[in-house]
Amino acid sequence: MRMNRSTRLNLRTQNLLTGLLLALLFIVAAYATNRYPRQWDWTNSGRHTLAEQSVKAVQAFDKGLSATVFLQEDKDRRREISELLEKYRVINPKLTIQFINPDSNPALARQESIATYGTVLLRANNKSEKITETTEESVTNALIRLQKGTVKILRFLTGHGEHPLSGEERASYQVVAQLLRGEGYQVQELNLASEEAVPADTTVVVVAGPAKSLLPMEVERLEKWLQAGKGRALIMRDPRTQSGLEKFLLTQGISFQEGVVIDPVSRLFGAGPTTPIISQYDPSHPITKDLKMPAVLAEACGINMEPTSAPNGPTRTRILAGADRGWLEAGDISSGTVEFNPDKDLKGPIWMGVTVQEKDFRLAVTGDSDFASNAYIQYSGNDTLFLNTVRWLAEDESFIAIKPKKNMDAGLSIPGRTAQFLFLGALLGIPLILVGTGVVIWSKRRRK
Amino acid sequence: MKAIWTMAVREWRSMFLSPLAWTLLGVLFAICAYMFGSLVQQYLLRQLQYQAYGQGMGGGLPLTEWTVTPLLGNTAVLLLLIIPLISMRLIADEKRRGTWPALASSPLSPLQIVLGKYLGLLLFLGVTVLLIGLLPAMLFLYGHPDPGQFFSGMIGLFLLAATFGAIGVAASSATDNPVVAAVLTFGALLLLWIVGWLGDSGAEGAGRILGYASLIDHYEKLLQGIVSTADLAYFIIVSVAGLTFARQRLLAQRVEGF
Repeated sequence: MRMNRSTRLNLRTQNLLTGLLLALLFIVAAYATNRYPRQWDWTNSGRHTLAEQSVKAVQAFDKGLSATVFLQEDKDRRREISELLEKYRVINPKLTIQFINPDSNPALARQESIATYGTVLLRANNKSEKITETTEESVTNALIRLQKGTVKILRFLTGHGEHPLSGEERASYQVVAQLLRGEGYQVQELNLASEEAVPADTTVVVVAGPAKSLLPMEVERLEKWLQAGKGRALIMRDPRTQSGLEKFLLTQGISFQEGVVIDPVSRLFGAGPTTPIISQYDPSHPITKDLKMPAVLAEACGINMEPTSAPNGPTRTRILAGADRGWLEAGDISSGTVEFNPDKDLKGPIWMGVTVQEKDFRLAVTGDSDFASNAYIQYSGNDTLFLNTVRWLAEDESFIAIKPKKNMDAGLSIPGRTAQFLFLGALLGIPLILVGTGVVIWSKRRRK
Repeated sequence: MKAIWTMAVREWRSMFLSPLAWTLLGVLFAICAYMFGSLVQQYLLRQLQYQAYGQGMGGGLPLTEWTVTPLLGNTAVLLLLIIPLISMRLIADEKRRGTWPALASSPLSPLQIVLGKYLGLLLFLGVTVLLIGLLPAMLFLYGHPDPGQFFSGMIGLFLLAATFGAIGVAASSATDNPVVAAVLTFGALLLLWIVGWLGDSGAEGAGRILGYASLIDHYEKLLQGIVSTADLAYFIIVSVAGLTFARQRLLAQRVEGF
């Protein structure tokens, strides 16, 4: 072909156009394959596969769903969260994932009242759910709540020295309140001395260890709500206090055993003898059946409960027991030394938590309120115990617990000699053979 | 097709006739063996600690996760350094040695030439990946690694190497100096490697595109045992794009006559 200027220019343009066209094609292919991926998990424990419940939960949002993650510059955390959410996106490509730095976008963070880094805001059909803990379990449950779309309100009684809902102190319930909000509950305070009655939209009333007795008027208001048949309450009472609710609880067959539970086993774990370890959970009750870790109470009293008298009466379950080798110390414990006194003290195990259920009426009573405070909530099973109790009271016991997958990929035992032999063989032997072969081939060819 | 194959085998043979390939393989294997040995050593140590403290927690310390995954992750860095040295000669050297006119005037189309060269390179890379795969494969004799995750990791390593190679072929077609080709390849690979850093910093839109372009994210998913069509497609698209670029270059050079 004869080349002149114009044919050359022609060829160049043609080449450029073909290049652009091809580039466009690659971009479209990249977009399409990334937008609609198919994914398989090849690990033998299925580590990267979402549980069936999660798949169903995210598939329900066929009109779209958005996840906004409020996170500062934190690569590892970001990767972790995005990997988890990405699994949901593979199942439902309508899910959009967005990361926002709350520090550089404070207005938006305030508008959505984002309190902690790593909060995920899920939004669909003008409703939203916030989660602070990013595990498959919490995301899936948030999706289920989002689908249902009702917010349940928890009201914590105040005015009698109960554990406050905010503050950094050891006794405060700040951490627990945060956990509950993360679960999608609204957490509020309730002052029955000033309110005429328990508000109608209340799901659960929590009485968290009053230091002094409730006023008779308050007890009356609470009882009225509870006896309407739909009341749900969690009553936590510490030893050596009077809550004023004892009379009402007696009508439910519940009475407190005065004194402090002593558990010598706690010593083994470095705790004092007045922090009993809950060693027995009821294996069939929704609150305790999936609990694996023992809970640790701090200064608890015992609870006695009469069995149900009427055949169609309420279901009464004793869910927590501990201090198998301990006792309920009736005497004074301030001296610092205690001793089992068979005449006065009650031998373990001691019951420390009970529940009563009759149709819509649900009641949970524990002999201690400190186990859910900032100082103790981190201990082994305490947080799960508290959250499960609230979930049961709020009728969220269908809350899905996703069990961690068993890791099948583990274990290695190489005898020391073999390991050394293999290591040296791989490090020196094979490379020397490789390089040697190269040298032999090269010298042979050179000699030719 | 037969012409492509003949050319691939010729290319492959010529690689193994030079001491460069053997030396690279030897050095690569020694480094990998050292890394793998220390990873296994660490695993054994951690396993002891784990057994002492964390009994009954979900079945033990994941073996593949602690040994195979980091080994393959580090091997990717070594390939990033080595592949430019292998791929640089493919086309650029023919031009420099003056054998190019013979090849260019042969009845082979530019596409056949590119594919033949690339296939030869793939054969070499296949040998490399198999050789490195011997190390983690030894674990199957003494422990219980996860075969699925192992194979998806090996596939990932091969795809990564193949993608590196395609970019190398593209760079080799762009110049007639092998050293320039190697530097170009290295630069391009490094750029594709780190391009995701910007995407990670939380930027939207453009950030997401950069995140997609990043080689390493796609590779890591395969290392984790997740086989996604999106990641497989990424490697194939980048490879095809590299080869297409090389073909277009050769086409233009042939027509323009140099």
